[in-house]
Amino acid sequence: MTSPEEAAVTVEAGPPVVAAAEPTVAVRHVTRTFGEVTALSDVSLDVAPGSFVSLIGPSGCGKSTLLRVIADLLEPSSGEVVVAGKTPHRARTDRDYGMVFQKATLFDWRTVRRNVELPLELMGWDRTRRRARADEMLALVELTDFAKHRPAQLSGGMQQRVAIARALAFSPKLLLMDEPFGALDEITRERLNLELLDIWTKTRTTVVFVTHSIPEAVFLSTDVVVMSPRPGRVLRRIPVDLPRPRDTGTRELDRYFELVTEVRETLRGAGLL
Amino acid sequence: MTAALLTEVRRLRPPSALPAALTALAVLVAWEVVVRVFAIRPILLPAPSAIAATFVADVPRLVRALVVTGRAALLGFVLGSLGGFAVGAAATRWRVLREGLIPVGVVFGAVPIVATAPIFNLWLGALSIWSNVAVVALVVFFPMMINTITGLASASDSHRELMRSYAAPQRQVFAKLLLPASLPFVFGALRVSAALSVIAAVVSDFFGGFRDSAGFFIKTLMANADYTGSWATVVALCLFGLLLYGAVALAERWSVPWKEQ
Ligand SMILES: Nc1ncnc2c1ncn2[C@@H]1O[C@H](COP(=O)(O)OP(=O)(O)OP(=O)(O)O)[C@@H](O)[C@H]1O
Ligand SMILES: [Mg+2]
Repeated sequence: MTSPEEAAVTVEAGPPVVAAAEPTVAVRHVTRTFGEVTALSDVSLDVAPGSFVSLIGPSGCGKSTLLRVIADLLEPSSGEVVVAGKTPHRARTDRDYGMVFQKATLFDWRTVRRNVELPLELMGWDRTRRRARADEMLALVELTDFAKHRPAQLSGGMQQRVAIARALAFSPKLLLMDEPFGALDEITRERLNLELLDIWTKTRTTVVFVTHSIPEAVFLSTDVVVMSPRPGRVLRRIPVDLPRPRDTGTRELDRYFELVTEVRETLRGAGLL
Repeated sequence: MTAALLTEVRRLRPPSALPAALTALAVLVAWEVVVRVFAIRPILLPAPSAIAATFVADVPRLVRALVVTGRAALLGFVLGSLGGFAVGAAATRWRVLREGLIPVGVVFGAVPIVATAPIFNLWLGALSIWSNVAVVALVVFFPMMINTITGLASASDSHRELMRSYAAPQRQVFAKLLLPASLPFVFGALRVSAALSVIAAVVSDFFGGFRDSAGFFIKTLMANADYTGSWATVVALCLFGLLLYGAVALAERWSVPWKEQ
């Protein structure tokens, strides 16, 4: 393992010689303030290619802010972010990441299929290719029968699945998800968790996933990153060594309970529970 | 079975059309009865049957009046709406323009058209259709401008952020997000303008010199004590206004299908 500092040097010195182990996302000493409020304080985080990293922490601890800094939707006040070996701005204009927000943010005026086509349209794909790709993605999230529906005719969970299909449509290297299932009931959430893992296994995309739910974080992730409240900092990073493929049986394993407890204890130790 | 039949009937008739038609019919019947029972003189209120008879007898004249007045209304409606949209869109692009234009729009929106009609006659000639068109266009312009600005600003922050995450250029953000999001507002302005443009065209007729315009007819018929004749002209104008409104509603249903009902 290279330390963050060494990796940073490699990237800066770098003509684009990309080491195999280079993280897909490298956050180095990032601080972000909003006026008086310090949302992020000296946050460092590496996300290895192909991993599934969950950010968990109490409301207002800066999870969304961190995600938005990675996505170049916000500038860090200080520190450095490298995404896919580039600046976040470059990664955004190169369309290296897909984003799923807490709300599905679908366009009411487009059908489900044309919502999934949106990024492909922006990238200048021709109609037939776009359509084929959108149908493929809709099959992946099991919404083939709803291709011609409008978002308003779909349930919240279905809308979120459309948003995931849309984010994956152009095969981004990185998927950034901000509490995508936060507004859903427990049953739908567990079903979509399974679906998401399935998609992740098939696409081998790197995922950064924000959640409030400890069971969800443990079930999905390769690593759970526990954050402290304002100013947001990384408290601890817990590798999740549960076997794969994970399924409903995973939630009954002793190790699963141990890990859930470990995350909970970390939050409690910081006085957060 | 009956339930199925009922839904079938509902499907055939839009749910709002039947009650509205019944209400209109009831009002007409009541009107006719009141006029006959109380023997109200036509100068105050002619019976609907009398108006209908005059209307049928006068069809050629009414059609000519509608061509003259309707042409000005339609031209003013189209030009004023296009202008309002173009300026509204430009104001969205350039912030300075927006901050200057909104108060101006509010002030101009409050100007009574009656006051502008003689002025436009003076400027553009009383016998030119363009003075009538200008009055209509002015009336229609500001609601459309304001609604365009509001509509183009109505896209949510999360949608804008989504487009930003795709690194979509300004032109595409406009075409794929701002414009579709503004359509319900644009059609809101068009619906209001459909009625306004007919009113404005008739008002400008009162000042203008077109001898066969609807407004001129109402004026001369009243002076000649032909009260049912003026009422028939009013009915014809109503029908034209409804036609224009209907066309807008149809266009709205076609281009804003996601906002059903
Ligand atoms: N655009 C902004 N302007 C001002 N303050 C902001 C802004 N965005 C976030 N903040 C502040 O930064 C802090 C962190 O916000 P953030 O949205 O990142 O929290 P979060 O961990 O995502 O919370 P939640 O779990 O509730 O979504 C909060 O105190 C918030 O008030
Ligand atoms: Mg958040």
